[in-house]
Amino acid sequence: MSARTLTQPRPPEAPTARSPRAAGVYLHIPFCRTKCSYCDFNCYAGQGHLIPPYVDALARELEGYGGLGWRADTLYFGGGTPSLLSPEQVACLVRTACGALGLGDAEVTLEANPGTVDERYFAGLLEAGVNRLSIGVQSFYDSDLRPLARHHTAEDARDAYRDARRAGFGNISLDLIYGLPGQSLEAWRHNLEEAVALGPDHLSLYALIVEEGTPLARQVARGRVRPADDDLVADMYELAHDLLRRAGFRRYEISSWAKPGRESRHNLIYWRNTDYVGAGAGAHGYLAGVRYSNEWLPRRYIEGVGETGFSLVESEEIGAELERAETIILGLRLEEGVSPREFRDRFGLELGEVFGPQLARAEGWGLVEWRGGRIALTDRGRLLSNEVFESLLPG
Amino acid sequence: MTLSTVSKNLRQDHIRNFSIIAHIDHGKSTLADRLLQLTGTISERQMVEQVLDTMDLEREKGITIKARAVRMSYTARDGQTYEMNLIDTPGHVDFSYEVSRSLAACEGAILVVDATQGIQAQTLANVYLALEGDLEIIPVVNKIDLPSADVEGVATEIENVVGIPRDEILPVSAKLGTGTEAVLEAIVSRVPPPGGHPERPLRALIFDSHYDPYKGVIAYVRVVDGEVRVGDRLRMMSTGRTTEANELGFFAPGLRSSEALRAGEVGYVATGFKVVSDCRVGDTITLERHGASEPLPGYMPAKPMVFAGIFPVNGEEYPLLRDALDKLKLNDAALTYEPETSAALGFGFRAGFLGLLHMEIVQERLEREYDLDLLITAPSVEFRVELTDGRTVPVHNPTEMPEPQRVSRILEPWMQITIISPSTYIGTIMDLVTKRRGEFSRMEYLEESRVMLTYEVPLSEIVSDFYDQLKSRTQGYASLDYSFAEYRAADLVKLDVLVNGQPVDALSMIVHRDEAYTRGRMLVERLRELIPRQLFDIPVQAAIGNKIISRETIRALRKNVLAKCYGGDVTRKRKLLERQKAGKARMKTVGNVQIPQDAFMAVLRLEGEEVGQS
Repeated sequence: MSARTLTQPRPPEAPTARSPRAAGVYLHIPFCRTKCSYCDFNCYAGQGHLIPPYVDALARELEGYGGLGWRADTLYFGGGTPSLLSPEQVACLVRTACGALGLGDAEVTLEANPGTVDERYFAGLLEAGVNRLSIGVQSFYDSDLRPLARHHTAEDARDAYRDARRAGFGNISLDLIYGLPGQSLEAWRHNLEEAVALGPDHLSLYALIVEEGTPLARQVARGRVRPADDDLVADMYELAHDLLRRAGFRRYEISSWAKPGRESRHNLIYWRNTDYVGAGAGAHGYLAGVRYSNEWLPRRYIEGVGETGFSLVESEEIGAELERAETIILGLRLEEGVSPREFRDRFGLELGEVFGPQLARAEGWGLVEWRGGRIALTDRGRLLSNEVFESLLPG
Repeated sequence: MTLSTVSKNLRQDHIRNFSIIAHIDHGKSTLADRLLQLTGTISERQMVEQVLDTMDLEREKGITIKARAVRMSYTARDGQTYEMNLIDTPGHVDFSYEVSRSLAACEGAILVVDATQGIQAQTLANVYLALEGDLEIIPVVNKIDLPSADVEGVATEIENVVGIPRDEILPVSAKLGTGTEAVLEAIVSRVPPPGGHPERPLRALIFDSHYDPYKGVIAYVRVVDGEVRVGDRLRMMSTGRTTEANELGFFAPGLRSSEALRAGEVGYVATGFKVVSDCRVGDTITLERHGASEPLPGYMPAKPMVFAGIFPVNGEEYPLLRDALDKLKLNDAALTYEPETSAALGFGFRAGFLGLLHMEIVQERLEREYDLDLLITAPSVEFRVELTDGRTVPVHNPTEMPEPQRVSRILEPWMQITIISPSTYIGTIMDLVTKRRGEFSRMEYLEESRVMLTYEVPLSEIVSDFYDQLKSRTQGYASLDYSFAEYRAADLVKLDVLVNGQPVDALSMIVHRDEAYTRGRMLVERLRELIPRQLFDIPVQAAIGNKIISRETIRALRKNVLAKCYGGDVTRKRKLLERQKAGKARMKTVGNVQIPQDAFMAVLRLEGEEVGQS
């Protein structure tokens, strides 16, 4: 295996010839009012008192990346619940990113949870420099939201969307979850129609995954909740694509649909496997060939940044072989697929030399195809993408 | 009579050789531990719980696989000091020959019966072995401290079944130490001293052996006649192999060397042999020159009854598997194996075992001690096939079954089985035995509510999951013992399985013609559940010859995971894919279908559903 995990923490990498200075910047806000039943993210309820020192630590960490020579292409506030930050706190972080990382007229996204926000708050965010919102609607049925322990209602979600528009947001994305226990194809259609009726610019659709260690996993293990049937989930995916296509959305990644020009620039950085800064507790970054993660616990993270300016706990050098595999695996998630020319430019090897047999086999099964000189997943391949990805891993 | 003879006879009078007969968990090891403590053989400090079972596997399963022995010194109430040799016996039906040899080394046996459970079938079988060998039986009712103990009922049962008067039965709590001294006194007073003649040529019975990397094979012996001294040239009477007694001594409980072992004594002899099969359980050791003319009676070479294919999951591990089997064989004379090639599973071995437990033990030791990833096919028995040309050939593997036109008839081994159970379960036991083609022989009441049922059943019906079924139907109360009865002709056919049109040789089995259809249907249904959906439709068929008798289809997989994947997910997602890939690598690919290991054992568990439905 070409990945090497280092247990000794070390400072993040500086830009190199192969990794020029531009990077996406992810800020993790690990605070939530309550914890959702399916969530296995790094987030904590009841630690709101840590927010002010946490924001200070984040600002200091960003300055550190600036000092190493990195520049920000995009900024993304993810969580947790970033909308628990005040507009002033958000403004402070955006300012820091501009000053230290040269963030100019870039995409600045913030994830907002219905029930924590109103028009005034959104106006404050806009003022602070946020220009894109991602609203975690998940479902337009309250009966779906309660078992997920999402502490908002469908009406809260509609209100949040309208408030954001009224406040002046021109670029809004909605998150929906499908494959919920007991969810019918009809209920899913209704969800999609409601979402489309609101008129968002972008939609992210996630199939519910029962993650180990979550309350949902325990309910499933006890037989209280029955996970959705795989074939039904496949039908839901196909229905979504069909319905959104007719509503003028273009799928540009397995789980992401956008009106033309409204693709998430920040997320495209992940799928194109280029550099990004991960700042904040438990955030993951990928800089100059090293993937790393920060201290998970907010309090320890704050202490770490206080001492050294960073708080890395784990780094993994991604060797050339693994980088090639990750690049094609992530690239295949995109509708545009992977270009052999770009692959050659990046790695100095022919795509066919490295992945020829695997791609030929996948093509034989009808999982990938050549479209406009690029290799990409077929409709069938998107549903069975793990089969393709698995074969592309080294070893 | 010379002075030395008198002293030897005096010594012999003060020896007591005994073993303990008990069912699993009835307290044999705990009682043995108490006796060791009472006689000061080991101090409290040295006391590891259950000293005698030294293999990890033995501790875990709570059973003794290899026999052990220990010498104790006990000063009895009569003021005299006795040398007491406890020979521990294996506690499972697969090892009944080993039990019989251990018993042959003794003059007495303590029968331990759990006061809450009563006598079990295997225990009874061993008691009969002991009675045949003229051993003095000292019955002990153990666990009298438990609230559910039925000391009277169990004593009645012992009286009825074994015919020992109630006043000779000792109530004991080995756990608390109650009544354990009385056991030692009973051994002194009731068990006769060993017979045998110190003046005759050496005859020593091998009741077990183990391989020691430094000393070679160590034989565990009971000297019957004569004596053996360090440096004596020795001859194994059945194999004819000769060697020198490099070292000998007794068990204290570790090996303690001495100069000589004399008639009546129990001890060990380091033979320098490299494999235990040179020094077989039941064989007689004598001197190379001026040796005995007749061996001790009762020797039988180990005979495997159950056969299965053992294949490495990863074909590259084949040489490692071969080395591991070679090493196990050093210590296990009953294990046999020869190379086998399967179209589905590649290179492996066809191994023969004494029974299912023996098979399970070998498998676990290979996996644990040698870190091998194995695939074991469903066990089969030795069929004898009479060919039209008059020859008879043994068949250990369904794939070796000759073409039907060359076969005049097929014989299969039948066993006599004994089941002891509460009488409420007679109906369900009868039903089970009938379903397995068994024939009723007789029924005896041991006491009011417990019966002993005797049947004859084909071994092939027992090696699937007969024992599990019996336990589940009787809430665990029934116990089972079996021994070989005879070969009988049967109307048998070979049932083949085709996955995606390809025959999977490792799934073939030989079944009774009347059951072929039902078995085929159940097998195909089970395989449909066990083989994961893949990228294409997979037909699964059962066939007899060219005739398909059952078919199911595993529908093509439509979707695996549709996960999101952002920056923080990349590593995690990759690890998940790596795990999935490793999981698939552990499956065997037949044609282009990946078949998980479970599927190859599916043939074993065909009856599981039947009970689930009833």
